[in-house]
Amino acid sequence: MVDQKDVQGFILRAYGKMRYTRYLLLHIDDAASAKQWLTKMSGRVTDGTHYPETTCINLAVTSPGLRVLGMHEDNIRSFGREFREGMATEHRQRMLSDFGDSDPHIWNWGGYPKGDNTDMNNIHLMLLLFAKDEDLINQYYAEVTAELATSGLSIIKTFETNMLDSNKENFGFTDGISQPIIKDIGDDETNTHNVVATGEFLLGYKNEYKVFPDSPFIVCEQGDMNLLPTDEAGSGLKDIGRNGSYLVFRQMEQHVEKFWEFMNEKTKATDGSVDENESIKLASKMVGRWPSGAPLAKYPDKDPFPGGMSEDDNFGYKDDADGLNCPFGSHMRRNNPRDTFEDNKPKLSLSLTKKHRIIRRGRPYGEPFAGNPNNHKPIGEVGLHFMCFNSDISKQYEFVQHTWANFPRFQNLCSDPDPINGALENANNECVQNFTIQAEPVNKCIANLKSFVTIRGGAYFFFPSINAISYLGTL
Amino acid sequence: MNQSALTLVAPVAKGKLDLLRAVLKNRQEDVKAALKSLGTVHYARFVIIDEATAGNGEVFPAQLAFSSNFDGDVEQHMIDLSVKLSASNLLDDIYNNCDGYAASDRVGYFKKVRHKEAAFYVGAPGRTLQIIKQEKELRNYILTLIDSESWTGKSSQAIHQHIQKTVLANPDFAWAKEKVKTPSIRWVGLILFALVLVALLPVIILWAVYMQVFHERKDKPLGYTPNQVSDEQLNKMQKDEDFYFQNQFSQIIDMKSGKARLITVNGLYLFARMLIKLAFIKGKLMGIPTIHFARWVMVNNSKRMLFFSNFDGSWTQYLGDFIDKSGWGLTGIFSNTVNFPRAFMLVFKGAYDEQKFLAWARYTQIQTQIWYAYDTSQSIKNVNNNTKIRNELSESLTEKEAKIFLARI
Repeated sequence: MVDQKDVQGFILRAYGKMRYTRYLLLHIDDAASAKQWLTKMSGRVTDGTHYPETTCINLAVTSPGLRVLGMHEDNIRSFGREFREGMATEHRQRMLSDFGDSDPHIWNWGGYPKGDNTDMNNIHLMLLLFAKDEDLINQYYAEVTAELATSGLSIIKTFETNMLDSNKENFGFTDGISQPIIKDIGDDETNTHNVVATGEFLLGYKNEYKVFPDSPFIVCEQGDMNLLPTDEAGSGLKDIGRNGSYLVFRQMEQHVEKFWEFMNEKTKATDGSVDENESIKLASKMVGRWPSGAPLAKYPDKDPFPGGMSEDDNFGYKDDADGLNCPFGSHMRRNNPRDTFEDNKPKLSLSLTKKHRIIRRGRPYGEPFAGNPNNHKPIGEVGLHFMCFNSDISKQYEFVQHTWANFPRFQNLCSDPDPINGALENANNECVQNFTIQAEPVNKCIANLKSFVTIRGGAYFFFPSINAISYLGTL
Repeated sequence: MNQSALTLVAPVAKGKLDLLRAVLKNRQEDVKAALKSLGTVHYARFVIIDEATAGNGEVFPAQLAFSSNFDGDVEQHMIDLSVKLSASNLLDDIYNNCDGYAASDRVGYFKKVRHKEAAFYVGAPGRTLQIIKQEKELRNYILTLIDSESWTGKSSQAIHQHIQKTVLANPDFAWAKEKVKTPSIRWVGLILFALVLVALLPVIILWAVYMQVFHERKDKPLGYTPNQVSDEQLNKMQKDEDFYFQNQFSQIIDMKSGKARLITVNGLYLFARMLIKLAFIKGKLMGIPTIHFARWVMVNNSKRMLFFSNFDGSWTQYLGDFIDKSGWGLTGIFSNTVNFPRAFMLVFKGAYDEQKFLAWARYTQIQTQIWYAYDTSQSIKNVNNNTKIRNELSESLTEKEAKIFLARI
């Protein structure tokens, strides 16, 4: 069993009742004071055993952050390569398809070094605050920031998120429904098809291959080594990763107007007017769920709960092997093909997809808004603060984004990137971007996909265990 | 027409390595243009195999490897290369840095440095460059055709017939009247092969036990996890990766010493060759559905193994597929080389130790100086699917078959 007292709660719980959020990107001005603050924080961060009613707090650190805290280079070297390098590298740009407006050179934060305090080298820590109402979050934020000022930490950026009660993201679809069940944390494991090895998400445990994923070890002794557990894999080294995880954070601006204009245009009635039902249907085909959240795999014809909400996650695609209900290229099916990955049998398929799952913790930002064909003009920028946890960024997050979302030849498709977050904005003439809706008698091809999402910033974080937070305070 | 492989491994002349490196860098585009002008080459690469010292102290001097996957036979291909690549001294500029090269007899030199493939896999056997190109155009044409009309109320059969009529009436697609021959699984051969294997099973098991007791237990695996591979090595590989949704993999590995290892690996090559011939002809190599071409070549008097492949998707996906789909087969072959994760009875463990296997794969990968791909816009699944479209187009199909035909587009 996992010692949940040592695990930061946000990995295990989405804090659904805490609808108000502040994410603070922090710069360490004075390492000594920051370390004292970390020691205090280790006693305060929300752990996995609590279901708090009012507020929660968690924290994450970047690799430049570890450096500023005084971690020895050899110890930093033992962290995963993706985390050490950061999200903005030439190769990673190609993997994640961050080009054009999504180019890290022009990100608002977390991009290539450019000398100001928002670039990847100056973001050291992230503090995540959650509260159940607006007053509480304001009050909590005021308390915490007052303390930061005297702890050698300055705020680079603060993000607010605005969750609608319906859990809808800005395009208007219920989000965050499907999550893996982490093995051995005491959750109900009867749905075995969705139970995934602990080591896929928490470092220091075996993954789906039944081996330990790379976890950072202290190879060069420093700090209070007694605070850390010894590597379970048997190297004899202290494991700073155990009970921690890697957090991927990407700020995704959503172009709601463009999204619904596209759907409206492609489905317009013969007289040119908006065909609301058809527009919603096309958008749902692309998403893989109806706006309510009901999966197309089960409800292919219309939303069974229009205006309502469904969190139905108990389904596979094996009865929809031809993609007639839920298209192969839809966002949801390709990002988690469940029991129909390639032409494998359902059981094998599930075991393969389990090697590429992520725990999603995204929350929308900007004006609380859920678009639809006739209401698609939010005020100001809206989007998703996409976050996910995984123990191997390359095998999980980056694999999903590259090989499942961006890859236009996913399964047997030819030129179909993920219609929600895989299409390029300024695709050159040779790059055909379609969305194929499997249908009878013939498939329907929606041509010339547009990009509905722009990356505005991003970073990879280490999400330490609570012992590891204490340890960082002793560096 | 069959697809064939050519592998040339030439010793780099003393003191010429830097020069060679510079030529390959500066004339990269010329090489690609020349290869394209052959009209038969699917993929090709130039790879410098750096000087290395084996565990027993033996030094393997630097070599230049060239490999190509092409339509037709090797003899003609070597002549074509010698002609097309000799324009503007391209070939001479490259091979003048190698021992024994003479511009007066280029084909003769190729023959001298040619190394036969121990096993060679083709993802779409029988499909020439021209066929692949034509069938891609055919699919796009049918796609446009389907999009331009309303088909409501029509049966799949009627739609198929309409497409058939329209396409075949178009002189651009006159070639589509004829089906392209693709190999089918040879069940008789496969059963015979299985019978032979069953008959040999006691020997194979004894051999596996012998290998475990006298060899595998003494193996010294690399023992790295992915993060222990140097950043320098990773950067070197990744800087060339993922420009397309296709990539290449080049690897050189030393064989473990001793006759037993050589016997084992040759046995497994034979096994692989048989299966490639009898069963792996539908676009999957041991279950891996993303490989266009792959080859194993023994070099340096069978003391080292060269592995080249061209595949769809990313490195992570490809190597993951290795473990998920054919860990046993790869363990059988690669566990005879040094540093491989510890195997048990030839086909167990080994590649299934995911982290160690991935680290080993990166550690032993080498840079490909020039990689040429004729068409990076299609996956091997696309290529094979397009052939099915073409072959089903001219047939008369039942309603059920017509449905399957339409689903392919």
